[in-house]
Amino acid sequence: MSDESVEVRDLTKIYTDDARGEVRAVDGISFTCRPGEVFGLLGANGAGKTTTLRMLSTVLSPTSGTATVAGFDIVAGAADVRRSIGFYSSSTALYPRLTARETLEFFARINRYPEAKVQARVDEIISRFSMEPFASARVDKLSSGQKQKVSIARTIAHDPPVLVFDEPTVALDVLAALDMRAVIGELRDAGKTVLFSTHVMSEAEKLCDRIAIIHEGRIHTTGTLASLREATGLHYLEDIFVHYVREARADAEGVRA
Amino acid sequence: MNWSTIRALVLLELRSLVRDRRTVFMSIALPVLTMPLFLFASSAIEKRRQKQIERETMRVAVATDAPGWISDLVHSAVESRSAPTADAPAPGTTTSAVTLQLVTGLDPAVALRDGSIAAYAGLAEPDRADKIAAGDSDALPKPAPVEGEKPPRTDSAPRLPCITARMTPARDSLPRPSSRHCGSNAIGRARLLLPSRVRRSRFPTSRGSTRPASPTHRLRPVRVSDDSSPLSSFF
Repeated sequence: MSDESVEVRDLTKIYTDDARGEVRAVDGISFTCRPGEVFGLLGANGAGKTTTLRMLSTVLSPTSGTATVAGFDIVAGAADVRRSIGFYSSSTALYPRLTARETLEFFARINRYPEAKVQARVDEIISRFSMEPFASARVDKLSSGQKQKVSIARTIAHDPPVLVFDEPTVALDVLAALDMRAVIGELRDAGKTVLFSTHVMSEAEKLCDRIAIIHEGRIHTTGTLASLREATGLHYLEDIFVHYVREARADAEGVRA
Repeated sequence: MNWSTIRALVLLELRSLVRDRRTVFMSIALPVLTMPLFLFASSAIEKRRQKQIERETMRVAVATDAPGWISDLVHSAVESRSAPTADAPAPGTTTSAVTLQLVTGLDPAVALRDGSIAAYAGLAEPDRADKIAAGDSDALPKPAPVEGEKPPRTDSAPRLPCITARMTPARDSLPRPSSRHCGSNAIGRARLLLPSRVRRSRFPTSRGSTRPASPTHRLRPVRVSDDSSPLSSFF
């Protein structure tokens, strides 16, 4: 059995759009993630980050290729994959008429967290995120920051081995973004696999153990920040990213020519 | 999907539903408020309609020039209807808005024309009733000539509205008289089945109003069925 908790092989997603025709949103990408690692997908808007993460979380089905998450195939074992991951996105909605505590209980139960441990787990999370003052308040009465906390908390409510964060700091203020990064760091330290997509270079620099630079549906390089620096001779991640994107464009133009 | 998942989902939906004030109001509070209102209104309208109908006097004649046994039946019905019982009012008063009164010498066709009755049912002797039922138009009653008017030609003469019942004097097989259904015993277990056209045109409509019968309205003879519903309940 593989040590990788996420294993992606030649994953492809093709959309057919009336205006644009065939769109290859993800074009044969491959990578692996290990437990206790934050793996960052770094790319511009429309690069295919979200599509990749949605395929891994079984929201979208791949056109071709395979992937396993926590040992379960994303197509054949979709239900097991969903129970093994926590998916967070800044656009993830909450149930407005449940309280924060009920929300956490619901997501723990729906993902089959042991019933006897649900209350203890919920109390632990409420304590971790300092949610005591508003744990009994309905979600629709909470402030944006409080909702954000509930949303992160519900992602980890069932203690999944793999966590998927799709641009988690978008629309967060500085303090909330810092808190989010702290949470991701804690999860890594707890041995979780964190798949993290972002287009904010500084965030990727600070958080990611390994980075994959994705552009127009293809991964152009994967490695640690140190290895990327060494390979390109550039120091800043932003420069490294631009370097690979230009290279990719040049390759594409060369193919067209 | 296991039971704990289903339970979690059901709880989620119920909580969401109960906490949505608009949904609770629309699905529970509003019906609770409006249903009694509708029921009260419906009952009040029905009572008002009933009173309106009761205020109307509908005079319906049962006419016969048939042999004596039919007259005996009618006499018997009148007497039975008028007989005071423990739970029935004195003669001359009405209980179920039906009063039977024996009148002699009245030409029902004339009475119908001048509006003093709304309808009349002609009780024919068996042979004549059979002819009418067989479609013999000559057996139908003819309108009485109106003074000062030229009598119409026979072939184009308008027929009177006619309900003809074929009566059988099977008294021995009939049930004992009932104070509640006065007249049913005497008339027999026969029910006049009025064509819907007659009911609509001559009896109180659903709004409580009546429309006068048209003398030229020709109706088919009515068949008689063995039915326990008494004739009196019909009026």
